[in-house]
Amino acid sequence: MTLLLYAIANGDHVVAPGISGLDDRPLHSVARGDLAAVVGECQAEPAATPDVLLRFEQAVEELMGDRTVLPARFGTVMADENAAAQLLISRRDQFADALQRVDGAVELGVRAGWPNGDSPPSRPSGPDAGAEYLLGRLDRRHRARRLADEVDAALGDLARESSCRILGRPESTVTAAYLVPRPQVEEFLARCRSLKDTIAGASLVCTGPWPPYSFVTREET
Amino acid sequence: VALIDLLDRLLQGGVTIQGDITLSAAGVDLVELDLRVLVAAVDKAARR
Repeated sequence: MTLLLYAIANGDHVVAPGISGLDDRPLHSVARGDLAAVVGECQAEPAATPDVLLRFEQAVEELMGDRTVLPARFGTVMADENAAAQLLISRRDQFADALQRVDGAVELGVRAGWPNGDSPPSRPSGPDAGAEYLLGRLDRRHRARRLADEVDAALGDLARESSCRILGRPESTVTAAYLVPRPQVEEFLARCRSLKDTIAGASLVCTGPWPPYSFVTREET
Repeated sequence: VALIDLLDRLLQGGVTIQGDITLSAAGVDLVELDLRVLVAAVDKAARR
């Protein structure tokens, strides 16, 4: 039997009774210093099926409640409580900083794109075909960038931090995550709803509130 | 909740044991590719 990590929390975090994880196993916290790791027993490394992922997410959301936690990446297993304690000791400063960074905030996701597909690059022929094709792709990239900027202009000021990726799929070209203080969440969702009507031809999906998955790791490019 | 949103966060974000640094290639299409492969695999598993 190994331990699956669900979240890192402040040391005084007590897992509310009734919160269970995968296979309905109860969760408990292992505290060291001013931090706690919330863990549950599991058989080896759990398989990432949709049901299992949803169950994990549900447990982390329950832990989040009205407090701040750092969600763990799914599948983070440890041998025993000693290993959990060791993790808290060796990464104490990083975790404490991250908890402060996301304190009192939740993550909201925004996916934007063109539901009917973006105009596909035409298949030019002739001597300039290659250049035309590349220019077409570049143009699509620019349109995606403009869409991302429009979304960010409407929502960015409500967030403490944000991250945005431009992807190749027409229906969700822009994938953004916003770290939003809890009191601003309603306003954020309301603006998302009205933004849908103002961006011509684009679709917009807002998801969350999520635990701050996208704001506990440092990205290096 | 779309599966892609769940996968994106639970498998790419969050605290890991190894460290807090995730690598992203230019444009992050690699991550997207990984996820798409995974979605396809999960889909297949669900249909079995």
